[in-house]
Amino acid sequence: MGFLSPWLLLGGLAVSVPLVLHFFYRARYRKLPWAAMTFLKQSIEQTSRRLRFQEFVLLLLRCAALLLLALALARPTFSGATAGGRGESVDAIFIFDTSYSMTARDGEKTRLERAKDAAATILDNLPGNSTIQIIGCADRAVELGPQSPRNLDQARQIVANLEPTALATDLLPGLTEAYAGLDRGAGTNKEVYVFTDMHKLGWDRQSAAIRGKCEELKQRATLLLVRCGNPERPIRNVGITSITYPNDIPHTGTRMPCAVLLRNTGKESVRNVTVALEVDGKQQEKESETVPEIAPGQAFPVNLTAKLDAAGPRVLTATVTGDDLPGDNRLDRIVSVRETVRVVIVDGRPDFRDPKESAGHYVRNAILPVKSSDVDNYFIRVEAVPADEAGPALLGNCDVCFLLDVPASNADRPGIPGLSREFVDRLSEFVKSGGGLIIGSGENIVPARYNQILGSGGVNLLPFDLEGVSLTTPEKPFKIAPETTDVPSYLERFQQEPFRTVTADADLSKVLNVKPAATGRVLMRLADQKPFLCSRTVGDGEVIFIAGSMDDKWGNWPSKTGSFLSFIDMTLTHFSSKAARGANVTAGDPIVWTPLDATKNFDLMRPDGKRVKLGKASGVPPVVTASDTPLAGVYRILADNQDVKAAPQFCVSPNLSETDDLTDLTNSEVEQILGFKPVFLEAGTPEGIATERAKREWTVWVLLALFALALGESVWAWFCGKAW
Amino acid sequence: MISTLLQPDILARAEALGVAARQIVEGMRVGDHKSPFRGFSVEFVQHREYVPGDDIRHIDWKSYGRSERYTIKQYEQETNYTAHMVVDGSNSMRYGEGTTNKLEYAKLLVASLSYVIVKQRDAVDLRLFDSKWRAELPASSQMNHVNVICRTLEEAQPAEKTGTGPLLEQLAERVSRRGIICLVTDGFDEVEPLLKGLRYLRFRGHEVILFHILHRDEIEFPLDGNVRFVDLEGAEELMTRPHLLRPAYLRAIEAYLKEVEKGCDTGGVEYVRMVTDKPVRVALGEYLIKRLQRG
Repeated sequence: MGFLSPWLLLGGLAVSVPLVLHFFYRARYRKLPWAAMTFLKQSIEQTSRRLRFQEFVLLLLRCAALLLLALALARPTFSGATAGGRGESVDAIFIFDTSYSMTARDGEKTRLERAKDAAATILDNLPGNSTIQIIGCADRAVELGPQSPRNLDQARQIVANLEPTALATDLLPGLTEAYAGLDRGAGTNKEVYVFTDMHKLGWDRQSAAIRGKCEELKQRATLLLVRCGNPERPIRNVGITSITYPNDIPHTGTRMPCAVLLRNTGKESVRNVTVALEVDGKQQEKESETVPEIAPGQAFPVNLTAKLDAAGPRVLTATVTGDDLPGDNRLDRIVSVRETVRVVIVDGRPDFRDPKESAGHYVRNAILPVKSSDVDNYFIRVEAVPADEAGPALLGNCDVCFLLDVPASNADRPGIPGLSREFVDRLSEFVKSGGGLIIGSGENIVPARYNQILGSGGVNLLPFDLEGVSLTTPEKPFKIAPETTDVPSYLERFQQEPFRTVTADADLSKVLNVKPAATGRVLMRLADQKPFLCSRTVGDGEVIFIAGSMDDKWGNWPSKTGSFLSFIDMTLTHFSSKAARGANVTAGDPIVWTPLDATKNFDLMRPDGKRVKLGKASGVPPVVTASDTPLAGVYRILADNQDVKAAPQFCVSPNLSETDDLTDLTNSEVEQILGFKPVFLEAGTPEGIATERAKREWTVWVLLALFALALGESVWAWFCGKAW
Repeated sequence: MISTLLQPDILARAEALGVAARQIVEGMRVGDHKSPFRGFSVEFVQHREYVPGDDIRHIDWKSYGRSERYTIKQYEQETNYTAHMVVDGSNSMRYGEGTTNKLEYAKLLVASLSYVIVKQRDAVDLRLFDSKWRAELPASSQMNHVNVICRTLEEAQPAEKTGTGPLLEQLAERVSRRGIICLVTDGFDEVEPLLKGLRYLRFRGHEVILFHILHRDEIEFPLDGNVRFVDLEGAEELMTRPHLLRPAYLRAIEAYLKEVEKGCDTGGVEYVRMVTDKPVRVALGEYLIKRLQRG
């Protein structure tokens, strides 16, 4: 219970007046000499107890009447210390849940449309001189206006133009913003409306903090939760989880096979789901397929192809239709399409007479899984050179470099050429600028020299410093343990079949030991926990070190094609897709881009066509950061006067955690989280919303009670005044 | 100088009606009232044998002619009476303003009665009392005695509380000849001793009349507002709102009046209630008429 004018409760002190009068006031008595005193005393004896009782009751009634009067003047309300009543101006704050679950259509209207209707009704019923603040809230709060809190027309316009985001629900930021907004209202009568579908995620993510914030809000305002969902109708939802193009580097001139992964996150089967995939929005090349039915909880991959015409970053867009929730029915991904992928293999043991004996034989064959006649037309171009021919120029036009059993310098193994100093320096630059380096072990590697030149003593490319070689017997070979694959990593599929078994089947006779440190990461280990595959990110590039050899000298892993080929393929795809990394983000995450010319001013072009000023690049290296990414779709960052089509693209996908669980909380569950009962409203009942404020103030009832009490007091006083 | 207590309009009416004794009285001389003694007057009562010493003028010769025996005719003796005016002069009689003051009313009543009684050649004495006898005047049938009575009444000032019962018993002892006892009081005393005293007077053969003088307020209790009642016969004070007590008060006083009235009735005492808002002329006139009618 609260009061609109709590200071008027002080009027209750007036109850002391009848008390003082009753106990201390000496009325003026007319003196009358009297003869028949005996009879007077007899009558007093007979009536005094009754009179005292009557007067006591009368006193109680009068005190109660004064208390009720003070209560009525203080204007009591059912909820909140500052709950509004009829006629009282209100400082209202609207928090709109703009997460994309609000786009669900569980009736004739979407939840957001219902929220808008309810907000309009509330706005229409606000008393004169009321103010309004509107806050959009998904997992972050955005103050939407109006500029002048008294401008209700502008508020209506803002409500009408509200758009959903691709963000997941978290009500805490909105409640926090609303709490801060309470200070902006001058009045004492405050109401905070939360228009939400009561999506479980929004309450669960930070339930303790939400409870605390709502407690604080309750102290200063009335908290009203407007339920916008239709609790009687469950949502049918199929969302696009991902678009993958497994085991292939996107390249021009082909229809790239893609897997569009669908998932039914609702509680009902969804039938006749149509999935389509297009590239760069080209409708005519769109490929689609209809799925007859997806059961609740089922993940369903749909295999489609995308025609990649031109090299460069391309936008793959998958769409799905046939459910109630459109927010996760579209997924855009940037893929970096290559015309050619250039690979350099520096072979430490070249054998031109018998190429099979070369250190790079298996790698080359793995990279080029085509006939000799088709090698020249294949999109991956491989150049294998001995170490003494590996010069800095070799890396000029290269994407990935293999160092296979190469001595770190000419002095490492007498008679066997090693890497030149110039090449090592260029190699370092190559990696830092985004190139991929794969180092395979072998007899030519001298650990100390490697550490000195390529490791911690040199250009710092090795994930870890090398130690010595470990040998084993043929009876007890080293075994690769694919189950130790680090997750997440591009190799995580090695934990699954069929990669797992075939990899575990490989035997190794020798491995190079490394000294694990914080500089790198172990991607896969041997059965005895020795690191086998290690990686290190250097600048924009990455280095992969293999503790075994990439030929058959130290084991049979390269001959296990299911494992070795997959490793090479995944690694090349991983390196090739580096260019698209950072271009695909989840809604709400910042887009970070390193421009070539950092001196210009940049703008962000959002999917809805709005331009947001980003300013100049900052930091070392200078980057442009766009954190305003609430919508799913394709964003562009434009420099001054730059053509939109030439600007780099970034794809923002919906935050899929929103639809992982589509459960909406019931009122009692919300009460449990909050620890108190807020005012619950249903968005679909305009009459209830319009009259809610009047229902909250019970001054009328108090006045009625006061009237009844006054009437009772009068009757009792008359009764007492009547002599018996 | 004629006393203000003798008001012509009262006296004229009362004088015409007179106060006849309703039972046998014992007077000192011949009067208009029946005496317990036989004498020679107008009313024949009986014959008796002549005895030497009797006046031969009273021998009934007609009877001697019939019976040859000397008989004497006897007649009822008529005598005057003495009215004993016993007036309550206690503090409780002070209640009332102006003509409604109980004591003043009582004085007027007693003076008027005394005048009428003396005027018909009967004797009157006066006793004023409160808790004891305050003034006592001997009986006399002289007209100037009325003036003495009036002066005594005028000078009477209430001082003490009432104590009627024992005084009435004293009075009964003192007055040997049967006469009329007029007790004028408000009776705000203990009822039982009062009635006992009255009964004792009756036992001694007196005609006893209780003039119960009451104020209208005391009977109907029409008071309102906040009132501090101060006891006229004591130091006690009661603060109350009398309208709230009225029913209880009326019940109490009604019970009291009934008890007194019933006590008088059973004791052969004539009970005359006089409310001071009714003028003495009217009240006394009504009483005397009623007395005449009863014979």
